[in-house]
Amino acid sequence: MIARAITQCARALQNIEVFLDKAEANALSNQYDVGVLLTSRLARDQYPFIRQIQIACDYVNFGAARLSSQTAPKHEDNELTINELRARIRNAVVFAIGVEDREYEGASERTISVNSVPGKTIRGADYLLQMVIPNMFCPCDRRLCHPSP
Amino acid sequence: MFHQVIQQCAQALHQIEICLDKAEYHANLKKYDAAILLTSRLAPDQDHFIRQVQFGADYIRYGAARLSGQTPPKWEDNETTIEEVRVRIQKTVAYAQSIKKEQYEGAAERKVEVNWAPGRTIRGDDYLLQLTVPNVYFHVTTAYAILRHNGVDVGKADFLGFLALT
Repeated sequence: MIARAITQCARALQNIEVFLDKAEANALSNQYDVGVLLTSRLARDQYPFIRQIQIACDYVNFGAARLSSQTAPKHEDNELTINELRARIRNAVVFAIGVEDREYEGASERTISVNSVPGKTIRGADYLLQMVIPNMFCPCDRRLCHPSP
Repeated sequence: MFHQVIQQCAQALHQIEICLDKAEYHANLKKYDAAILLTSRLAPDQDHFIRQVQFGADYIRYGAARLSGQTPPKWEDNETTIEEVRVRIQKTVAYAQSIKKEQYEGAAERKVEVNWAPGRTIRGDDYLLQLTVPNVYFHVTTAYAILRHNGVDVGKADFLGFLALT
């Protein structure tokens, strides 16, 4: 179930690429620079679009890595263009999907340390359901966002 | 796992009630009618806040019922006030909590019928992961974002709620 849930998260990320296609088409037909969307936010103190994607990618990457006892690939968070963002999404998806089912063996009971709360741990199943999945879906705040998954 | 996933979805919905506390506080502070938020939306062709909550709640109600082989309780989508929205959330959470772990036995292989695709079925585990979870979060996140966009002081901690850290 853990492998399936992570794969499903990766699919959700993959769908963002479809949104990006539509964003480009919309920008083209309404003659504005699609870059405007990349720095857009719903509230002044919310992270812009690019940051939202970076964070969602991180939750999927770290989720897949920690639950399968691997090291997550490092990213610089330096995406500025829509194509760089596509590449970031693809990297995250490839990494998450590349983890084999058997690598998640015992993942539910695994003790996971989370960067955002030093010294505290969480069980693998709770980490997946209370952190990875909800955070991946949540629009991030500047104030309250966990700085790293 | 089914039991735990549905409980977690119920928690996500419950957090919207916490956000409603903050919405009422904000409306009071800025002297506007909190009901304005209930019919707010982020785009003109999007469903408004109440509808987002109803959709999110329904994915939980139907998910819990279908995966445990029960008939979901019938509720009308007639909420118009904050209090009524709270009640809808509360009864959804209570219904999800009333289903015990053992009632989900065999849920993964259960064939689930979906209303909008007559004659088609989906396996229980696919139904949970491809329909219930993403749809619950889609609607709960949208409801949250509508409040956030309107200046209500909600943050990620309100969205996430309880974490089983030790």
